[in-house]
Amino acid sequence: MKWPALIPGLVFFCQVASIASEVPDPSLLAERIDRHLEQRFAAEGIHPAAPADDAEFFRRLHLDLVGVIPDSETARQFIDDNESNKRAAAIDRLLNSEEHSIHFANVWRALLLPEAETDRQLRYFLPGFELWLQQRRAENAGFDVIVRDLLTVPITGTEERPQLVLTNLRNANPIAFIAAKEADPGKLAATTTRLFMGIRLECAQCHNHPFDVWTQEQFWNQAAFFAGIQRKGRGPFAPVLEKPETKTISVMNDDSKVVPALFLDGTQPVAAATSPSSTAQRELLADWITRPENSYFAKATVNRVWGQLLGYGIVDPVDDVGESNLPSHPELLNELAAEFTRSGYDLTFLYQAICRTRAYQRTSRQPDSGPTDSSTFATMALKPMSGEQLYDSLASAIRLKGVTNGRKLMRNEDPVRRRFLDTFGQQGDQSNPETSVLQALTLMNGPLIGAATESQAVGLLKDVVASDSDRKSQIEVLYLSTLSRRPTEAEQLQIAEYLDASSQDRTRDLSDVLWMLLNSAEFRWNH
Amino acid sequence: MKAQLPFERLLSRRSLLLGSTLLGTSTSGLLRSLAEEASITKPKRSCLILWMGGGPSQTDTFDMKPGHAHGGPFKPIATSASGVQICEHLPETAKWMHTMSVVRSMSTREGDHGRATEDLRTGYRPQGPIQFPVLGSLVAHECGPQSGDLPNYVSILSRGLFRPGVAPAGFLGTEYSPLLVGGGSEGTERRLTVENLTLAKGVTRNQSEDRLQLLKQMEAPFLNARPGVAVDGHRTAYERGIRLMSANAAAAFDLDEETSETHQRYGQSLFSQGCLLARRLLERQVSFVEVNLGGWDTHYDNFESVQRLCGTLDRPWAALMQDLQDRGLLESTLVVWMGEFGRTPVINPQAGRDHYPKAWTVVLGGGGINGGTVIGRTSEDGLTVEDQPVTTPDLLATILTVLGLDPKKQNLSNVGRPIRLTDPEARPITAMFAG
Repeated sequence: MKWPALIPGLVFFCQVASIASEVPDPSLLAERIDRHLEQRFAAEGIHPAAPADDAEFFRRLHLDLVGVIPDSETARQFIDDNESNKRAAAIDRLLNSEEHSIHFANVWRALLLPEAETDRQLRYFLPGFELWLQQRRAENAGFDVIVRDLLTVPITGTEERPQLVLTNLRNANPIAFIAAKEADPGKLAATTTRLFMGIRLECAQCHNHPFDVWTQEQFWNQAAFFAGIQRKGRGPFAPVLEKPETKTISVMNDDSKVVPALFLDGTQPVAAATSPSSTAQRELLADWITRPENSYFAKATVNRVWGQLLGYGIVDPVDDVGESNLPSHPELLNELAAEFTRSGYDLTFLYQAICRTRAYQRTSRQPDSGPTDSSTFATMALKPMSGEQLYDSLASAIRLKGVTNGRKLMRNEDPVRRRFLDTFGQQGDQSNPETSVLQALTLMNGPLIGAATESQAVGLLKDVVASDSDRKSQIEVLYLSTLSRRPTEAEQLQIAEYLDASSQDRTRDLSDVLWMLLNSAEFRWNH
Repeated sequence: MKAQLPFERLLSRRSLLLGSTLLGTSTSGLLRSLAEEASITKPKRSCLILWMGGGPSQTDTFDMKPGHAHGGPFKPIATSASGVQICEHLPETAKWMHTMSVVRSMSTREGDHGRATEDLRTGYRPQGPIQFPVLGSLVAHECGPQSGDLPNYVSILSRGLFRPGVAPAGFLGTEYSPLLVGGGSEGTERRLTVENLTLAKGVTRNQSEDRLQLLKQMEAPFLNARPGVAVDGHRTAYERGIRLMSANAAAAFDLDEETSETHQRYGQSLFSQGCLLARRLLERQVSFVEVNLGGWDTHYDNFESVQRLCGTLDRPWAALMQDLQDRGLLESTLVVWMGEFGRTPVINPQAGRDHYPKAWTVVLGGGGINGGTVIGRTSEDGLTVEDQPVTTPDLLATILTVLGLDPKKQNLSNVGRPIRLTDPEARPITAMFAG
């Protein structure tokens, strides 16, 4: 084979690729995804679950893309909409909404700053950090750009004048990342490789990894990219500085073992000839991680988003890619990663493609032929709601006053919401749905549902009682508000029976129905 | 008359209501568990873990190096165990050393908080998709299904120890998850309580029964169409929640029942309240209790922090030992003091000590073990273990053996292969309990 003959073809291919990357078609990728999965069904004789009906799909989509169930009217309109294209349209509409960027910011903040869960001081950073994520997502910045922003956040402080990390609470800024990791090179490196490459290096901090190929030295090679960062004093508010000339680090504070910054593939970073900025080392790392040749980056990202939407990763747990944990569908993972890279790491494209698949739009009801294995994606997984999703959905369902404002910037400081979140945990990787005893007690007896179901309750209960409509319509509003669907005929009958046999106090009776709906497993889960 | 109105009526009708209200057709239900109660071999001892989150400094507590540059400013003091010296800031604990055994030769392999915590709490280092249960869940599982109104495993002030989204009971299933008490929302009152144990304002017991019955009926189709761990866990959580609302169970958590003299002996801190609550639960035959005291991650100003933490730890720990002894429970309760790792004997430039899994200390007490003893030895500089190194599996196997459980017993894991309670390589420290 002669090279010159190839070159025109190569040029042509590149042009096509660059055109394609401008307008990637999510429905083509969706079809490819389904073909990968369905080939496996055919080969293994798996009967996938039926398609989800409109109500199930719409509730799921709302929870996944905007972090809250639809209100009763929105749900009703979608269910009654006769447009054949309404699902794809709903996906696009939600992805373009402000609520989507807020939810995205919330999800990624929890992944990037899980420390805020236990360290209350760190919560001061959240508004600015989430605002930064939110703005980036709203302008559909490529995921490579977001990661680059984060890893190369400017640190301008010097030994004499270290930089304050928290100056303006509302200033959109990812500096919290440095503060939450205590400006510690090891922590910064471990989080970076885990979240953006799917590789858990922290296990190699003290010794070579027993099950994988990573060595202790490689852990510290990664940490060396952050070695110039220092914190003056302690606590998350202590000022920081960075010494760009520091390009090595001692292994576990042992000065006799000093290692340089090296990429995970063993290559050496080569600094640009231009004048070195304080962030130069980190820029080199960010460039290397987000360059298209590093397939770990795209794979880790698509796998994480897949896991968030389908409830189970192609590699699961989603951030532990390695010899001991292989992907269930390697070709699918490769293709998703390649298309995501080609799209310019376009998250909207990725969400569109996955949400359009038959896989995402299957019911969580198990097929008549019996249960299917999570890793086949033949049945939609039950996904637990995060504390935020549950609180916000509860608040929306019961029509809690001020919730619209609460969804915006101040919501992290809302003490009632905060208390609820302490019991229900924050957003994170939740592949194992679990209702704890305390959660059950909170839902049964807690103040939020208690206030919504008492005789003097305002909001949904009062609205329903005050409405002129007949009993059937009242029940329907309660179902649409909580479960985002109409009650079945059988359910209408059962509820009617309950109400007939019950007290004569209509408010009390309806409050029992509302209590039941809010405590039901169907409400508790993203299904 | 107590303000908390119990669920007597609901519970007196439990076989009728709970059996039919929440469990439905589930075979893992209460009725079966009640029937099985007699046939379960419970562990012969209870276990209390005092978890020192962050990793406590062994050099400044139980493995002091007076006179060495690594030793720091604290002085050792004599204890009730001849020849065993500990830190001057643990004077009350020192009086109980004759009931305790100090293991000075812990040598483990994880130096990251998350991984080490998982290692020391499950006995296994994190690896791929296997969801290892924590020790408390392993013990709860050996106890069999919860038979009384109180759970078999209660974890106090320990929220941060459980990774969000990771089930503590791992492949054993949520039935063996701990009841978490405190650690999230004590607020400014700093009172340890279980929230929402009583019915919401204005709700009568009758109404509550009606609601539960309606709930069971209406959610059955959804649950039945989605069988699996999530559904079982949901049912179990509600069932356990309802049991906790019973008068007996709720009373166990009511620290106001204790005299002011007792409160004084334990102290006012949350950890003090946690220890007092632990004693109340152990009295009521709860099999596994843990209380967390965090803040031991002393990279800076180690000595100030350790002195303060010893102050928090010392009195309630000693009060607990006293109470267990007075109630005849000391022999039947194993008390373990441990964190996820120790700290560097070398003092860093910030007068702190960093993570150190290579040579550190845990303390076991009560439980019929050979008290007043020391297991293992570190070098003069504290950097290495010179005698009888003890690994994570060794320690957990020791604990399980003292509790009367077989560390080699196997459970079926989520990846389809059986996993022993502790790694088969584990060698329990026989010197600790051999006669």
